[in-house]
Amino acid sequence: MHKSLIPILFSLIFLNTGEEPPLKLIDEQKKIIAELSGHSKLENGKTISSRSTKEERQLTREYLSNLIASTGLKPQVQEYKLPNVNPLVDLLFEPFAGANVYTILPSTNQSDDYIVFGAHFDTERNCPGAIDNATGIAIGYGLIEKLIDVKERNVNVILVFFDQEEEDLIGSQAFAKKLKKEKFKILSVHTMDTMGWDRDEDSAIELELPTNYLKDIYIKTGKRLGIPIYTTKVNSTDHHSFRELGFNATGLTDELVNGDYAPYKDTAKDTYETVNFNYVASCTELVYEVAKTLIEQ
Amino acid sequence: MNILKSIYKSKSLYAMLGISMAYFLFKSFQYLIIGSYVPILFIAFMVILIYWSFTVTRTTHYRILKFWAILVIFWAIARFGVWLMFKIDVTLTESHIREQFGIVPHVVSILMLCIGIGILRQIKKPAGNNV
Repeated sequence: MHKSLIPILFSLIFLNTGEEPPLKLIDEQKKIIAELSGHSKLENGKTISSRSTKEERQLTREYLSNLIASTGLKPQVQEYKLPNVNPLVDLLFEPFAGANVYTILPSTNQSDDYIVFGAHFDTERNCPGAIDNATGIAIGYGLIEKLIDVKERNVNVILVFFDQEEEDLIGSQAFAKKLKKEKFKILSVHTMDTMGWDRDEDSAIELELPTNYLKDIYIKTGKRLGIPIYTTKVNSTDHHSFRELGFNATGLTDELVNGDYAPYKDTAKDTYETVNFNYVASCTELVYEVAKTLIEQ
Repeated sequence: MNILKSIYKSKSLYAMLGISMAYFLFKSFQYLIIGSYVPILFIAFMVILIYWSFTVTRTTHYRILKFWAILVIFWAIARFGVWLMFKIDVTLTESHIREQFGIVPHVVSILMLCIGIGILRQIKKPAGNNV
């Protein structure tokens, strides 16, 4: 009689509380990538099939704001308008208009210094963008979730999700201008783009145009975690916008130059099924360890 | 030429000129706020040129108005051309431009095309009817 009651008691304690057990970080990241790439419906029943049009990007911003709020941090939106890349186009068409979503994780010890981690959330037209760049968003989310638990933080951390990267890095340009204009003391900027493909399973990443300071930290951390770090001179994603304004910025991506990169990038085949979640997890760990080193200094 | 007298004698011509210039002035101020100077430089140049043309002969004045009308027509045609390009080549990725082809932008393009043609037609009328 006693023995038969034990499982019943267990089920009463764990099942009847009405609360689901907390998801592991990688499961949360899987859920984020699934929802951002239209693999799963959002809780409100809507589906983000692509993140390109005005409406799709607005829906994604709402999703990202809720995601940030779920961590207990305050989501903020930076709306912007920027001229076209060619001034002659200004005569014909309207300016770029969009909005970045960001949050600030404050330092635990008083500090005016900031480190920025960012990933773009938009996609090309009709692309689910699971790897490019729902993975970057998921890594950013994983990073902030883990940093919240760090007891001693000597610098503030900004996590930003950029709009309109696919259209001449407009969102990151607007954000870099904001940081410059508002005189933020930025120690370093790290942008994450397309980090979900690792066919050879070596967990390697490419670090784009790092300063020696950042390169050393990434290589040391990579060695410790068994993650090969290769440096490249690729300049075609969001970190470029920050470097242009004099910030100490670098970009993180899969092995774009080494040839082990997302083959379905910017196509309708960039789907949830193609994401290597072990790679997402190892990238999250790397970025977290680097961030931890930086904020504990 | 007396500016007010000219305008009074050919209200429809100058109304069309005024509407088209006001539109581009508005657009250029929008751009000036966000740091792009090309539109305001362009429209300022045109305003000065047209104002100056009132002080010279009617022929020169009309030539400059004709130039403005042709620019406005080209502007509208270029917008239609880009729209058509996006319709034909669906692989073009510039979402930001693609999104600007809703009903209102098309109405503006048609209006500007009509204004450009209207200015040209008014200029071609016998001089006595205009000034």
